[in-house]
Amino acid sequence: MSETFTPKSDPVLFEILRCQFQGVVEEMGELLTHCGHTVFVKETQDFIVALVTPRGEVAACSVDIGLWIGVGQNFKAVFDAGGPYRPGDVWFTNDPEQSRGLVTHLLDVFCWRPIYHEGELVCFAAAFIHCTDVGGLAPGSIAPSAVDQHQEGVVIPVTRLVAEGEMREDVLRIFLRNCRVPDKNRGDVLAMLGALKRAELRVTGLAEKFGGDVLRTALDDVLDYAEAQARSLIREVPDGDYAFWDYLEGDLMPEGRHVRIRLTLRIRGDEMLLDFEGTDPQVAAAFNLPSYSTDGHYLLVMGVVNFMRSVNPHTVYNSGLVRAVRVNAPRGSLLNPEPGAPIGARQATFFRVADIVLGALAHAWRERMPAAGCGQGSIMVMAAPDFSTGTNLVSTVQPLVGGSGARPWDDGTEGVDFTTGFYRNIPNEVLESEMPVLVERYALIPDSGGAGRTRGGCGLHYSLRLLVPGGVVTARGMERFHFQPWGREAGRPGDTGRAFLQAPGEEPRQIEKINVLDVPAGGVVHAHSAGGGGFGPPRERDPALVLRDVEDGLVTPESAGEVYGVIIQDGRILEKETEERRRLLADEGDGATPPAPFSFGVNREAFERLWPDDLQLAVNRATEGIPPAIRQHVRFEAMRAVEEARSVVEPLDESWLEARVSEIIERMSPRSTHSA
Amino acid sequence: MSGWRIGVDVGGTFTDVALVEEATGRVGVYKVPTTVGEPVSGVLEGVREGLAREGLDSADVVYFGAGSTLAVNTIIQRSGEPTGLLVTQGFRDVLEIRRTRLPDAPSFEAARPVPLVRRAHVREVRERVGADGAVLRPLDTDSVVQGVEELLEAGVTALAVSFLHTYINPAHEQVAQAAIAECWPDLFVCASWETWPQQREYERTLVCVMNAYVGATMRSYYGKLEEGLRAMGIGCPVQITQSNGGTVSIGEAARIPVRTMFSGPASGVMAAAKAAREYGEAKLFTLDMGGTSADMSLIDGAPRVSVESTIGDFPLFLPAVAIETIGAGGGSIAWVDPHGVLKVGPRSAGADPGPACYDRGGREPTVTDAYLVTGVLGENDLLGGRMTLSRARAEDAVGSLGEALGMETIRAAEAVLRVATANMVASFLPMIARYGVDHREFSLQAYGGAGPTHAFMLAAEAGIQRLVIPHAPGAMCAVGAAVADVQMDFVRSVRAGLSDEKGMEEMFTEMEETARSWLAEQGLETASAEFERSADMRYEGQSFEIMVGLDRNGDAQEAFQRRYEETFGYLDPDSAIEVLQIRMLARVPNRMVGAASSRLCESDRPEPVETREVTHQGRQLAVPVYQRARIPTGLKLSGPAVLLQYDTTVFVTPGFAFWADAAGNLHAEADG
Repeated sequence: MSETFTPKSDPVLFEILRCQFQGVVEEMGELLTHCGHTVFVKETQDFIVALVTPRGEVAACSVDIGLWIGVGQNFKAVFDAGGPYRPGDVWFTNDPEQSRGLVTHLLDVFCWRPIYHEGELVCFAAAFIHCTDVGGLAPGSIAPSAVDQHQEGVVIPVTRLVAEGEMREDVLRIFLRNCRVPDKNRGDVLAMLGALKRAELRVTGLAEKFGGDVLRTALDDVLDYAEAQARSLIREVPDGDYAFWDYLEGDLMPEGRHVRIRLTLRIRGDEMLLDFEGTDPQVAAAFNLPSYSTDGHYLLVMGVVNFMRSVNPHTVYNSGLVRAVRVNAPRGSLLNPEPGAPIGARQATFFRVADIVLGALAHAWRERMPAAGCGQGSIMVMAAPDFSTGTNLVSTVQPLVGGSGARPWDDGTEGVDFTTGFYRNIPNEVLESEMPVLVERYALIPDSGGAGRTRGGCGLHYSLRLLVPGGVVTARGMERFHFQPWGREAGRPGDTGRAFLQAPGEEPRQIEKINVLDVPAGGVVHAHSAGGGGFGPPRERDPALVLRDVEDGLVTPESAGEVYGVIIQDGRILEKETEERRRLLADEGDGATPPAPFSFGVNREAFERLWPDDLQLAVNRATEGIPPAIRQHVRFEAMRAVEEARSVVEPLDESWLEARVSEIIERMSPRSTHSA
Repeated sequence: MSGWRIGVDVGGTFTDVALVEEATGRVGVYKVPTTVGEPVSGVLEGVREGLAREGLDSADVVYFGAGSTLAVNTIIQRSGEPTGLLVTQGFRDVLEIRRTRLPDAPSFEAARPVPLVRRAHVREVRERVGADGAVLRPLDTDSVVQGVEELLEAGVTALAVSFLHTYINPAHEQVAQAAIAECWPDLFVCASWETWPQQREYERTLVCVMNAYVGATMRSYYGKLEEGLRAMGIGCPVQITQSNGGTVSIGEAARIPVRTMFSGPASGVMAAAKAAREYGEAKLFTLDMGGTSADMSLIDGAPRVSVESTIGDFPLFLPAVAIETIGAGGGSIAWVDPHGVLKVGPRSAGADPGPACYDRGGREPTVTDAYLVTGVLGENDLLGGRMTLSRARAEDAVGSLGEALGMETIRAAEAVLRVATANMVASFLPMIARYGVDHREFSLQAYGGAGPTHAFMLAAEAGIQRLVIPHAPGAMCAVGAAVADVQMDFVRSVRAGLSDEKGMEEMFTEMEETARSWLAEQGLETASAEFERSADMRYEGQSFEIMVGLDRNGDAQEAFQRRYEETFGYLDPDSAIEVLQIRMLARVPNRMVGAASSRLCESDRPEPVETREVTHQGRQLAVPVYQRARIPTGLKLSGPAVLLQYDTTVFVTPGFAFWADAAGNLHAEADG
């Protein structure tokens, strides 16, 4: 049953204005792309353009262009912090604390412009762009290993940038003086201001035609409409509590520890709660996501919104969709850190959260949800001197994405996952004409897609050669190097990602995830992204499709035989051998009945044998309430104690654990360390 | 005796043939069914019928122009040649990876993008050129020959060659082409430098691949067409309309068929432009509304050209008359979403089963059904009464929609038209914004089966004051093919700062020479040729250029700043400006003289054939219905009115005055 929705506007006028609002924001996006200066804005379109109600809700947001993370951006805090507003003003900020989680890392610079009709505020035009660099310890401002926010660049509190149509050049200069690529950032900011101005022109035009009040009412209506659509979708999901968790991998984390995000998705009627109780504490690395536990927070609800948009493609894209989505992210956790925590690489975190939401929904709807995709939207950035002038060149190199998970009814997409499907890549010809590099390979990786009745999409192999000395490459958000993208219903997990560094004249050498990597002149960086998980037992895949994959070079003949049980010789399927092999696979229990809903792969299974759910929860509970800076150390000590005393704590004895924690605190306290 | 020009347009359902007398501009239009699989036989049949009806023989034909949607349909239906692709080593997946962004970005239910060339049919070649055009690794010709050999074995029959950076240095592609031609002289091979030499490897490769993919189909069509016409005794030049609105010889079209991708719709725009020149309008929009969509373009002196269009799932980066789909067509289906909101499109009932009122099994309400229910359209209006519509079916369909909306049938029908119009306006506004024009200065010329029916509703909503319905709105593309000019684009990558204006002047001069020799090769006299200059310019650091028209000896910087501000609403005077490409359009205008009266008026006071009840904006109107042919020249009448003609119905809404000119165009202007 659907929610009834009665627009306060005339129902036909409502649809008319809804179309118009969408037209306005799409036009803003076009303008920003065409006028932008950095490849991240003009090619990748890492920005949002929106119309926002005076209450701070996004009422219209582009879908044909730009990122899909506008829903749930809450502008209330920044609107309140700014002002008093005058026509022609533009305000801006990149301050996570003052914006209460609207800004989630310092590179996202938000601007907003009030739009008036007959002296009354109608709405705001708003946008953010991902600036390529805002200072900080690494080119591109993000080093996964940053330990506090001040290492990540300049912070601009809510400030008026344009005063009644006049640019405040002094303010802009302060900002640009702190950036490594001031001219390019300036070009991007001007383009963003151009988009806001265009929105004002359009909205005032509409207001003249329809009246300001009609517009204000219609903006409320489009939000109510989306809310009604969302509520009826939530109602379709069976009531229940669905728990699911996944990890950010430990390589770049303190002590190399994996960090768990744990979700209980609670569905009650037409309401949804994303309860992240049990999620690991914040870390002294750039992966924290400052959501301030805001209901409907855009980077926590991405999975929910993507789900809604998938199931009903007519879903209107605005913040009404998440009015019925509440959030609990415990204070001091990875998803709601204390102010000042490093946050630069938080996109690894929100992409993982999106996958976790889909995983939880897969418990509710086993036959509808896909397997996991590549699980990374990693951004490779580089800096290198211009060989003749010595100028420091900084540019985004490429968003590194990988294969999508298989769907129950079809294979995944090759080389691009749904969750990161909004990124546009950077043409290699454009990159090579702007930076001293040579792209040597940009290709799919055979056998990287998880096998299944339907196959996961293949990951990508990207190779970049630096042509000058003194080059540095960073890549934030590389993930799935250890824990494979999970398969579903006996589908195999996808292959992991990898990274290699190849010195001139040498063979590639495998390295860990890229943090801040010095690359010699002539050196090549290779990045492999993960493939998506498969769905259903591989031996049930149509042999003709397996043959086609082999012909296309996406599956090797060896895997066709071993994993899919399809024996191919001279380009033809050997029927009898195939039948036999498939029978054997069935006997070996490939796809035991009934299959487990998820196949997580050997690494995660091994890890969770050591650290089962209840034990991880217990450690977090036992260290709750300790200030984050201290808690990290206590918690690691406690974890070491558990690992050493493994036999003692099975079955888990929480009082044992609490006693250990008390001892550790005692030992670590200034009193004890003083006497030591 | 003066000569006649023939234009044909092969559409999905009908093949239209237009005969135009050069001396008078008189137009005759014939429609015959398209023969599926054998499009040429339909064309020849239509030509035969047209000549017979006008009492002409083949010697009277001095010009033959053709447009078609064959190439577009080949892409959309994926019915082209098994195509192979040679790429630079390391870039086998240029078509698989695309620009990564998914069409419906976050949806896991959306269909997978499937490239035109299978991965199995892509071969890597050892070679490399840098961004500055320097050869970093010489071409290994053996790897070319070996790759082609394998592809031919795998069943490939057409081949595209696209290496990196060939927009700046095409040498490797050219050498590869020569090597292939030596071994396989009959294989259809094209390379990216010749199909369209632009930066961005995916986009350039895609143009080249599409060219190979449609190549054989189009070559065979062109071959048979020329043969058939010669057999009929038509010996005049045969020209093909390109997407840019101009024509090229049939031989040139067969060489690079991808340039004729939008020949049908582009011809329509050219016909509209021609008509507008004749009735003295320089600024207008065209609205071509058919069964599945409403398409608009902008003519500001000349038709606006765009370098990016869409075909099915693919972007196409080639200069083409800018045509934008802005909304629903007559067959678009109206529906109510689960929350009680009325939507129109994007699904269409198409030609089969068609709208409910066609009574061919369609049950869902369409825009055409709404025309019928509101009374805008009558049951016997179409094809001179040869096609009857079912009012009962239309009312059933719209009635069920009304039930879902809690509205009477008639109100629901009106709402369908209003929402369809709103969708158009919503796309129309960003479009004019992108073009940077003030739409109140423009008139609207409407054609296509439903264009004249819907145009006045759109004009009223969009604030357009003046409209024109051309003489033969149902066959504008055929008319356009008959009257288009010869036209060819030339482009050269330069990538230079503005300081080098002198160098630009030299390049333009060189290009003009190239263009002249091309025209001479085409057997055209160059004395009357026009050469239009433009440049793709941007602020340094940007990725997207705007096309700026340049006068001989004009100030390029000033022209850029003016165009930039018009388009984007701001300037960045501190930034340097760079030129990416310079372009030249060579045009040889056709020999048509101005159009004269196409038919004489039989009476000076038209008698309505009937008076019809039409519901419009909540009111019941008694609307006179006229035969359009009986509207006398120059007599001013007032809307509302319905005008009947063979291929469409015109609905003039209240608030507009209208009159016919001597050429048979219908003009209208908003009151007040």
